[in-house]
Amino acid sequence: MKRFGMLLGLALLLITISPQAHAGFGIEGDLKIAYIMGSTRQDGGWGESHGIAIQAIEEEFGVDVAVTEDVPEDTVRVKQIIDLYVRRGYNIIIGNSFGYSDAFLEAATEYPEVAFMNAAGVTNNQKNLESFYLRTYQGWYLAGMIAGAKTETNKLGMIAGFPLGLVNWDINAFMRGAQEVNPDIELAAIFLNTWYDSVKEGQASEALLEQGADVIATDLSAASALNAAEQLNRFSVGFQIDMTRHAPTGHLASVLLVWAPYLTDTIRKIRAGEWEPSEWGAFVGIETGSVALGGVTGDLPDDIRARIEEARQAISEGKFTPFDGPLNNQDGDQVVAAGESLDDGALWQMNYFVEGIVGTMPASN
Amino acid sequence: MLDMSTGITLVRRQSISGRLRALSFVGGLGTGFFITFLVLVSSGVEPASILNEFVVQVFFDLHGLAQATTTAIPLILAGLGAAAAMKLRFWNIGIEGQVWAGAIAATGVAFYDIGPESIRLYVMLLAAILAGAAWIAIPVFFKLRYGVNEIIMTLLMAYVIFQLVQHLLFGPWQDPSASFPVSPHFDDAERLSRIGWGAVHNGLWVALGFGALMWVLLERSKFGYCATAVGHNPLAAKGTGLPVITTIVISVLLSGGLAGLAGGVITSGAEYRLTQFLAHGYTFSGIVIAFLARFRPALVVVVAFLVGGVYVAGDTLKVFYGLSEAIVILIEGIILLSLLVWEFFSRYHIEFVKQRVPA
Repeated sequence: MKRFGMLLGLALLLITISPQAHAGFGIEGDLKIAYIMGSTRQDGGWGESHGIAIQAIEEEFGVDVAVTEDVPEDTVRVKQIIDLYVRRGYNIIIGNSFGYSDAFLEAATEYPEVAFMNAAGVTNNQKNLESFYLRTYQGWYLAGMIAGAKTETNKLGMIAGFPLGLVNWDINAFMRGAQEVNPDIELAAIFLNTWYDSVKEGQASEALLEQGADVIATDLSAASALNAAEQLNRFSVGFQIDMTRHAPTGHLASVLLVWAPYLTDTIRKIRAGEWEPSEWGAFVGIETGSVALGGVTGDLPDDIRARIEEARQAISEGKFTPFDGPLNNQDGDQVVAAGESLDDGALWQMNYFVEGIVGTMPASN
Repeated sequence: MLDMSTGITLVRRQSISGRLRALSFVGGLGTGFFITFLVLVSSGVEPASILNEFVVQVFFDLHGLAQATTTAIPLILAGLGAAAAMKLRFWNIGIEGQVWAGAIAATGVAFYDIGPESIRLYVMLLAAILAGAAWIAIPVFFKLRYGVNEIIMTLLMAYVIFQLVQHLLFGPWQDPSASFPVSPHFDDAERLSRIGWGAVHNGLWVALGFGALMWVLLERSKFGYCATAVGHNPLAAKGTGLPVITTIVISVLLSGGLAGLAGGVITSGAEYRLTQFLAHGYTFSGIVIAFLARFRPALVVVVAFLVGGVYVAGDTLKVFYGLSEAIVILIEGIILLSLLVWEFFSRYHIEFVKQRVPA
């Protein structure tokens, strides 16, 4: 009975405060936006995809975005750089590294009047802070369909950074997409334990090509993977930005990271005083154009083109995900039963390869 | 027929007066500051802003001062560590490696909850010291036993331990809730608390305490006298019966221990977890600080504080003037080099000699 009374009280309280709760977060005065980046706007990958978003923000809102590049993932320094911006009147601070998470959380509590957003961050649950990331696996699924249709050897190769959930889902989705159009396909995946190493990325790609792969997909930033495939007249799939320029003939598609829709939409809400950051952070995808394919080859059969568009629609409308069951892991054990799918938590924890992938997932992980 | 040609020779001074020494130090700093000034102005920073950003905003502003102090805490310890070894001409180029060792040890104590919570922090810092000392003990052993060059070995050992950090962060110590290579956050009992001024934490007292301890040890004790003698001339020291090997071993282990403690203080006072980035840059900064401070502990504390200020000012230059991340390292390098050049000319003087060369 006591508990019931408490619940009733809580419900009444919710009803009375709900108008304020809808008001959301806003800033006062003109927009002063600062972007703190882990690399540069010309890094050919991650940073460049953010550079494109910065340009979109500047055009949409008619402001100059202040940018600091090459900020290391060091909590004390990141916080000090945020301090500098806030103390000189900046009211929207955007970051683009997981390693900024703690500094952003600390700053969000210290400066409740400033809005904070951090790409690939993990800290949330403040009225003025939201981390955001993209459902990159959706794009990789579609790219996989293209690769599966174009391969002649039925062997694909993929190079990736570290064995983390947000990397593994790219590899697995690429394979799922390829399997969708070509059940006999094989994918060899290699972790390079780096986010950027032009030489290593090239060497690993050459090794995969030597083993007979005729499509090389890169989950990293360097041009060398695409160059290696191009030299042998094989196909390639790029990531983060449109990488056509590195392989003008063999480039099949690039999985694009498009940060602008989320950022411009959020800034609009902040300006209107209607921003309500998600408790778990924003996790956006194809439905808002935040993940897309760029530089898609013109040389695709019509039926494949139609099937890709169909899949894009279905993912967009939430009718289908690349990890709908039945889904088996590399060893043939079922991870998702028929009729079920993976929730976001399970995606972030993905620590296995799906069936058909050749490669070793580090055991300790 | 005789051909006259002019030669230049460097002649070592028999003794260097205190005045000359002071002059070379001030001259070196002055030249360094002047070149820095030129570099900054040529990169588009207004001369008036340089004074404002480097002096007013950092040292005459409570907020800037707090930032400089926070940055200085691990720098003091790394600088003390560098000084302890280099005073004896043991070239510890692997300070980063020992910082990693300390960070791993402190994180390990926190991760496995070793010791009661009331003393957990002390256990962490002690473990950090021991781990740093243990990591440098390996090159010390190989140097004394087999004559292996410590420059190469300490440097390479830093790469080895970074592999261990990666192994731990991608393996057993990875934070299950993060999906990224970091260890879980420390509990409150495992964090150095803030003193209520910016982000300055209790590690400040640890750093200052060890500064005082090293001052007593190196400048007010018999051990310090031995260390100075060994640093100047180990053979002579040995000849006079001083315990050369023991002095080297103790000093170098202290060096590693202090660098390890820096790692412990970074993890427990700033990051609250082990990351892949936290030790970067401490070798270079530690050596610069030790050199500028002439290996004297009290000066190390002062110089580390000033270098902390340069870091803070460097961030401002980066943020508002578009200068690159390298600017701080560039400034440190310019000042160190000009000091070394001035010191060189305080030791040697140039003579122009006319030589008669028979045709």
